[in-house]
Amino acid sequence: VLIIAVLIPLLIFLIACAAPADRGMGDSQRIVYVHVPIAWFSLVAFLGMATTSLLYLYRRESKWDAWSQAAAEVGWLCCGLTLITGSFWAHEAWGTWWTWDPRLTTFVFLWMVYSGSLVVRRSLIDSARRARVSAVLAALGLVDLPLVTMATRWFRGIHPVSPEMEPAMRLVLLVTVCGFSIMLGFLTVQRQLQIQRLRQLVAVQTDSHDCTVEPSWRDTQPIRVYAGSVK
Amino acid sequence: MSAFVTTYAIVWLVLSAYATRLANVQRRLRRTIGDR
Repeated sequence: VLIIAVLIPLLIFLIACAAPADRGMGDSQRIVYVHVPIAWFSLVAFLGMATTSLLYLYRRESKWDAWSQAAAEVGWLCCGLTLITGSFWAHEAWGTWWTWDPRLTTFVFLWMVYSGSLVVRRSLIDSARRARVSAVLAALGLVDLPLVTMATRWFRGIHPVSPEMEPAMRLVLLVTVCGFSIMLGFLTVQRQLQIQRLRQLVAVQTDSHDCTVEPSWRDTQPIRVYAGSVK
Repeated sequence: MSAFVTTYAIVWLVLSAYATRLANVQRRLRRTIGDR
C-alpha cells in the first residue's frame, strides 16, 4: 500500500513538471494536473458509494456496505483535496481563494454529503441501522452528481468549462488522471477488504457486528475486540 | 512553481497519511489473525 501511495504520486509529479508551461498562468497552471484527477475520482467514488449503497438496500449484504464505506472515506479525502487544490488554482487564476461559483458550491454540497455519511458511520452502533441510514443518505446525495458535472454548462459561473490545451498538456493530464485513478482505486479496494476483515473479526470475537470504533493505527499489538469498540 | 509545489505537497501528505493508516491497520490485522 505504502509503496504504491508514494511511488505513483512521485511519478505523476515528475510527469507534471515535464509538461510545457502555460503562457498565461505559467507554472501555476500545473495545479490542474493534480486538481482534475482528484476531482474526477471524488465523482467516481461518489457514484461508487451511491451504487453500492443502493445495492445494499436491495440485497442487504454486508459486503456492499463495506464497499460504500471505503468509497466514502477515499471520496471524502479526494473531495476535500479538490476544494483545497482548486482554491490554490483560483488564487492564481482569479485572484481569490474562494467564490460562490455554481461548480464550487455544488462541490461543497458533495463534500457535506460525504461528511454526513462518515458522521453517521461513526455515530450509530447498530450495524444494520448504520448501513441503512448511510445508504439512504448516499442515494439522496446522488441528486447532486449531475448538478456538479453540468454546473459549468447549466449555470453561469467563472469556472472553466473545457479549456483549450496544447496536445502535450492534454496527454500529461490524461496520464495523471490514469495514475491517480489507479492509486486511489487501489486504496479503495484495500480499504474495502480491510473493513470486511475487521467486521469478520468483530463477529467472531463478540458474536455481533455492532461496533463503531476502528482499531488505532498507531498501536502495534494484535487487535482486541470489546463490546462496542475495537482496540 | 511554488503554488504548484505547495498544492502537490498537501495532496501527497494527506494521501500518504491515509495509506500509512491503512498499512498499519493491515499489519495489526495480520498479527491478530496470525495470533489465533
